[in-house]
Amino acid sequence: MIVREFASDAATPPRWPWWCFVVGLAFVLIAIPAFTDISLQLDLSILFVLSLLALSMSFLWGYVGILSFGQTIFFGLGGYSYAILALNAGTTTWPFAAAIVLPMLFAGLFGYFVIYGRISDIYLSVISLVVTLIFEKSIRSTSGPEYVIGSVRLNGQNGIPGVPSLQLPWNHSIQLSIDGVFYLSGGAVLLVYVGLRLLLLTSFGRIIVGIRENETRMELLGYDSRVYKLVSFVLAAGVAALSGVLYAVWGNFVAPEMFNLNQAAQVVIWVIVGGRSTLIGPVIATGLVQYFSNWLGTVSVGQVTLVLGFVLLLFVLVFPRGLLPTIASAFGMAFSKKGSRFR
Amino acid sequence: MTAATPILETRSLEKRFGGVVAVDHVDFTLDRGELRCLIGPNGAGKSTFFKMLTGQIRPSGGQILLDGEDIIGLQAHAIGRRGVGIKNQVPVVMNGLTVRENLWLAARIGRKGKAVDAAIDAMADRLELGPILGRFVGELAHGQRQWVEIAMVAICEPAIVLLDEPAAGMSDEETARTADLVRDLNKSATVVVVEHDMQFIRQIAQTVTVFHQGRILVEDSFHNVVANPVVRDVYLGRQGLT
Amino acid sequence: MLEVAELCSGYDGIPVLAGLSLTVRERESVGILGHNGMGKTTLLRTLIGILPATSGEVSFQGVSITRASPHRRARSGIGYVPQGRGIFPGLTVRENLRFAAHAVGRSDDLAPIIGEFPRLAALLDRPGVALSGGEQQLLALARALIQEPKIVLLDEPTEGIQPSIIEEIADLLKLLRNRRGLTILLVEQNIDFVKALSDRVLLIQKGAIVREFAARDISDAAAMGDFGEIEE
Repeated sequence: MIVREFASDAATPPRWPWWCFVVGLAFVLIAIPAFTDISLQLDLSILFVLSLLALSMSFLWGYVGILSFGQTIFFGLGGYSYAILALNAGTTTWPFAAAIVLPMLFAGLFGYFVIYGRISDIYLSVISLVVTLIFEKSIRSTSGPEYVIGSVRLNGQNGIPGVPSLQLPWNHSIQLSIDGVFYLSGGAVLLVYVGLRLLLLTSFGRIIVGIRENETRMELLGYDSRVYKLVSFVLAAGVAALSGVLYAVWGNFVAPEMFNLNQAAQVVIWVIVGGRSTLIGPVIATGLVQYFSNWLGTVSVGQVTLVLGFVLLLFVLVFPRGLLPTIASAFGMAFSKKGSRFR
Repeated sequence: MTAATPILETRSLEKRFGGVVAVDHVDFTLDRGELRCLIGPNGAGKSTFFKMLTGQIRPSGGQILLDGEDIIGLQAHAIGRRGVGIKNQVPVVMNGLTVRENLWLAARIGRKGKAVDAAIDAMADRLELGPILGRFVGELAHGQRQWVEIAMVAICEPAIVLLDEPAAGMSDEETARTADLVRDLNKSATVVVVEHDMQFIRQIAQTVTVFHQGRILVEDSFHNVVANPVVRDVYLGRQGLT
Repeated sequence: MLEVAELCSGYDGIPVLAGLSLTVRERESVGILGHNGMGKTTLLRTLIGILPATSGEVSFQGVSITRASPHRRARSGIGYVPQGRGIFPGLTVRENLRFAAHAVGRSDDLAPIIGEFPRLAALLDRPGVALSGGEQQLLALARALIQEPKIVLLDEPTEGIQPSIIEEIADLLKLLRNRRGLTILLVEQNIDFVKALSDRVLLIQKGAIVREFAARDISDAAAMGDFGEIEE
C-alpha cells in the first residue's frame, strides 16, 4: 500500500495545538534549571545536542529522501573546527559561526560530486559512511607533534582537550555556565525543529517533498532536482555541524570518536526508532535510547552495543514506521491529515 | 527561426540497449501545430523514442532538434523548461501526495500567487477532477492516475505535448472525452499521441506515423495507413478496424 | 461456481465496493464494464484475496473463501491475470511458467501450455523485462493457465496491447473455453473484446452492479461511443 507517512500534509500550516506544544516546551525548558540539579542539566544538554544530529539525518532522509550514514562527518568537522579556531583565536564568537559554515562548505563540495554525479541512493549511503570513517582514521593518525593547525595540536586519538566554553558575545570575560549551555542547546533544538517544520511550508519545502516522491516527474516539469537536493544536503550538514560545535562546547573536548562507526550507527538507530517520517520522533527517540544505554551500563550489561543492535532489529521488524507513528496509530489517530499535529 | 522550421526534428536518431536496437536511425519531422499519431506494435520503439525527446533516455546517436536547437545532452528539466511535456505510458506522478499537491507543483511554474490556484481549479473543472482533488494519487484507479498526469502536463501549457497511450484503460465514453481534450490541447500546442486504440486514433488523426522494429514503416493519412497491407500484417490484424 | 454476496472493500478507510453481488455459473463467461474508479480492479483484487473484504461473502464451488488467503484461493482453482501483467521481469519465460506451476503443485511440463501459446515457444529463454507488452500479456495469461484453474479472473487484458495481439488473445480465450470448459470473469474497457468473449455483461457503478444484459444486446452504437447509452 502507499506509504502515506511521508506526510504530504507537511504543506499544511501547523494548527494551534502544535503551537501550544512548542510554546509549552519552551516554558518547560526555561523552568527546568530552577528545579533540577546540575547533573541532570548536563545530561539533558547532551541529549539536546545529539537530538540535533538526529534531526539533521531525519530531515535529510524523511523529507528529502537522501539516506546519509555520514552526518557524523559534519558533526565531527563542526566540533574540530570550533576547537581549533577557538583555541587559536582566544575568542569564541566568530569561531562558533565559522565552525558551522566550514562543514557546510565541505558538504557543498562533497554533495556536488555525489548529487550532480547522479550517484544513486544506496551508493550515496555507503560513500557517506566511508568518508566519515576516512576522517576518523585520518585524525587518529595525527598523534605526532608535527600535526598542528596554528598553535593547536590535533593530537590523534587522544583528541583535543581544553576546548574553551562559549564566551558571551557581548562580554568576552564571561563564559557560559552549565545552565547557560542547557539553554543554548535546548533552544537550538527547539529553534531548528520549528525552523525545519516551517521550511516545509515554503515552496522550497514542498518542492523537495515532491522530489522525494518522484524525482523524474519533477524534472520533467522543469525542476532541477540536483540544486534542491544539494541545498538540502548542505542545510542538513549545517544542523549536524551545529550539533558538533555544541558538543565541543558542552564537553570542552573533541575526539576522533565523533566521526566513528559507533556514532554514525547511533544516529541511524535514533532515527529509525523515532520514525523518519516525523521530525520530533527522532528527538524523543534520542533521549529514550540514550537513557536506555546509560541504564544498561549502570546495571552492568556488558555489551550495550549488542543490546542496541537488538533494539534496532526489533524496531525494523516490528515497528518499521518508528515509535511516534506507531503510537499515534495505536491511539486511533490516523497518521494522515487529521492526526498529524505533531511532527 | 523561420516559420517553416519544424518544431521538432530528429535526424538518424538511434538507441541501443546492449545488443538490441530499440530505435534505428529514425528521421522524424513534426510541424508546428500538428496533431500526429504514432502507432506500431508493442516493442517497436515508440516509448523509447518519446523518452529520448524528453531527455529521460540518452540517445546512442543522431540528433534531436527542438525549434532548430540540438537538445541532446540537455538534462530533462532543461528540456521540460523549453516546453516539452510528456504523459508516460505508466503514470509518473507523486503517488504519496494528493491530486491538488501534484497539480500545484506543476501549476506554479511560470505563475504567481492566486493565478496558481486559479489554474488548478480551472484544470480540475476541465478534466472533472474536482471530487478527487483531496485524494492521494497512489490510491486512485489507474485511469484516474492517467488523468492526473495529463492534467499536470496540460497545466504547464507546453509547446509540445507527448501523450503515451492516453486512452489506455478508459471506457468508450472516457476515450471520447480524451479525444476532445487532445483536440483542445492541439489548439495551442503541437501534440504527438501514441495509442493502440484505433477508435481513438480515428477520432483525432491527421497524419499517422507507423513504427516497426525501431524504424518508421509508413507515414500517411489514417485512411491509407489502415489500408496498408504491411501494417495490417504486423499490427492491425485481420479485422484492421472494427 | 462463484457467488459474491454484498461484498464491501476498499483502501485505507475509503470504501470502493459497496455491497456488490454477482454470480458466475460454470463454463460461463461474464464481462464487467464500468468507468474508471468504479471498482473493477478492486473487485478482482478482493476476489483473489489480495485485498481483504470488509464485509460480505464470497464462495467458490459452494465453499466460503471470504477469509481464505490468496494462495489458498489460487490452489483451489482461481486463476488471476492482473492489470499490468505482473510477470517477473528478472525471470525468463520458462522460469515464470514453471514457478507458477510449482506454486500450486502442478506438473511443470511446459509442452501443453506452449502448444496453446505458440508465440511463447521462441521466447522461452527471454527474460520477462525483454518482452514487449503484448508478449508479456500472453505470458501472464499462460502463467495463469498453466495452473489449470477452473475460473480465471482477467483485469483489462487488452490495455496497451496492439490490435493484432488482442485478436490473438480473443481467439485463444475462445479456444480455451471450448477445450477446457474454462469459466471466465473479465474486466474490460474494450467493448468489442467483451462482446466477442462474454455471454453476459455486468455494468459496475460506484462499487455495485447496476445493470446486466446479454452480450449480444450491446448495440453497435454503444460499441462506437457512448457508455451513457448502456447506462440509460
